[in-house]
Amino acid sequence: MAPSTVYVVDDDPGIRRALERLLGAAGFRSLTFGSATAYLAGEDPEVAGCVVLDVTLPDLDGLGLQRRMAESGRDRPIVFISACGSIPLSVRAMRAGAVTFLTKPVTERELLPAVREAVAIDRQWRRAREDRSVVQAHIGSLTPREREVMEHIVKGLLNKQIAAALGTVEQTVKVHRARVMKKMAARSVAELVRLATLAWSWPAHSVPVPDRREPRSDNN
Amino acid sequence: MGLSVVSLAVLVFGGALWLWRDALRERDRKQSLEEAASRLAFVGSAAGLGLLELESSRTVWTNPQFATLLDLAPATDPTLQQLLDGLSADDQPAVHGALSLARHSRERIQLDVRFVQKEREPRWLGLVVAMRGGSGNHDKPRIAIAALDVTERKHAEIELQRQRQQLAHLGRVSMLGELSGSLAHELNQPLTSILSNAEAGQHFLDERSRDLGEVRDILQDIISDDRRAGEVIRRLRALLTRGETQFQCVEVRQLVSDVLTLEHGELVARNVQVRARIPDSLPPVRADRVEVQQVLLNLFLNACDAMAGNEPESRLIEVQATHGAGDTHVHLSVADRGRGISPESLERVFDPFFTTKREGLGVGLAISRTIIAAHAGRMWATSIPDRGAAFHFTLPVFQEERHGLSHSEGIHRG
Repeated sequence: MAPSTVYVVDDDPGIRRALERLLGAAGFRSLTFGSATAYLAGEDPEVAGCVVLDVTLPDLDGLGLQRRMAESGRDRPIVFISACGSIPLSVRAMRAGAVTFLTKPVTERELLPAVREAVAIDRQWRRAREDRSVVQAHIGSLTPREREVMEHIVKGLLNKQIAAALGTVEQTVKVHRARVMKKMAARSVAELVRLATLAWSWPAHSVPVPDRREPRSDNN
Repeated sequence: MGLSVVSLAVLVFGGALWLWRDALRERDRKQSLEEAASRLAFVGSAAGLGLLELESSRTVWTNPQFATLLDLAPATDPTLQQLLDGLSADDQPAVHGALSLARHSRERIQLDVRFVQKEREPRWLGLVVAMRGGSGNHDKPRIAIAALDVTERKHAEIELQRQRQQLAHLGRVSMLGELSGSLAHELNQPLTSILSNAEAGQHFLDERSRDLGEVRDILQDIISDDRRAGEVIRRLRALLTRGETQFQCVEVRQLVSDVLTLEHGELVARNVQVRARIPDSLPPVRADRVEVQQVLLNLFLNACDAMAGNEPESRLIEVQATHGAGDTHVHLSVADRGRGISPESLERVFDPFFTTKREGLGVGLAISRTIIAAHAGRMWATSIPDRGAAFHFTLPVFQEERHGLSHSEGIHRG
């Protein structure tokens, strides 16, 4: 697997240099940016990795960038670092899906596990996204009638009920059903339901993330 | 015969009349001289005004009050030396300077000096030094010195200044309270780099293969970040000290850049840009560094507040300093792009406790105006509705000392 990249966004060049060194020592490749705009211009969605993001930035602030990333579908797990972290601010960041919220000055014992976790989450998202696009391709190969049948199966209807709903005979539904299972590469109804859920529910945040931390503040 | 008798009689009578009129005139002259003298004596005693006239340092005339002011017996004629001997050593050069300035430029000089007496509280004397006469050929130029005990007025002034300084200090403390969040940010930034650099350095040392050049770079960064943190603390301490007002030769550019460094975090957090236009040719000003920084800090914070509702790209503060050729003062202005101030409020914003903000006491501008007034400058506001407000103030151009007048504060030319 290609190594993950850590995107560091902080307006302070000294901090960018220091974090790059620290992350480098821990085996991460990092790319640094001085502003949200520079990040948006320089970030490559194909590259796996996470963002270490300062809250206070000159043009668009950290929370604004988080929102912009979610809106544009260029989502990445975010580790926030802030010199003036307040509880409301960290709560907002966490609600919007941040991995964690650390207060500057941040020690490697806080930062590195958070970055590792964020990178792992990014891998999960990427895998889920790949799976999803495979499933979507499969769904795309269905005929409109097969798709209708699939929707009914997923709802839990029996062949008889599907036939009634579509105004056809049970035998025809059976044929469609077999084709749906084959095209979707599903071995059971349960698996078909899982695939349908993967394809039809989004965004990535709905993919369960293990061990999500509570928001932190400078008080704890 | 009869005619000659009559003529004689007329002659004698006329002569007597003439003599009598002359005597009357002489008496009038004496009377008015006495009256003038008695009036002068009355003025002197009623006002406690001591007068001394010198012809090239020799006393030619004085009044009893001058001796009293110098704690001498009223009958003695005090000399210039006796006056000088009684003055505090700090003030003697100022009096010498005033005498020489009066002699050469014929200006009237006013100055306040401390008269130090044995076993008594020092008293303040207000002196007026001026040239008298010297225009005609017979009239030798004289230096006149008028002296008045101004101790009470001076104490009131000093008390007022002490209160003003305390108020200014309180204003600074409360303003730094408002800034505390961003000051923490300013300190945290270098501390963050230092910590991460030090941790990275430890890892580099563990890996033997690493080249030491990188460790050297790390240490260099740690040193410069440490200096940066120290600089923030130094500026903070300077603002928090409760010192006497000290007028010095101050570069406006340095003042503005010091304030911007302190406020950097706040400006970034609030998305506010600052454009400063300070010409290289700007002369230094005579100012108390800390107090003028306080005024600028206050104006910047107000400008940020005024633009809180703006789109981030239109949050701009413009700082400008100008000085016209021959002007006695430098003009500074701080302009924002906020909603502006209504014409009827332009003067009221300087009233104590006038505020449009939910937080804040509304004393910032009132204190700022007293600070600028104490600098012999002026402070006012202008506004274009919906386009923003500008606050202006003037500070005197710093002047080299002249004629040995070290105490230029106490001296007014009139």
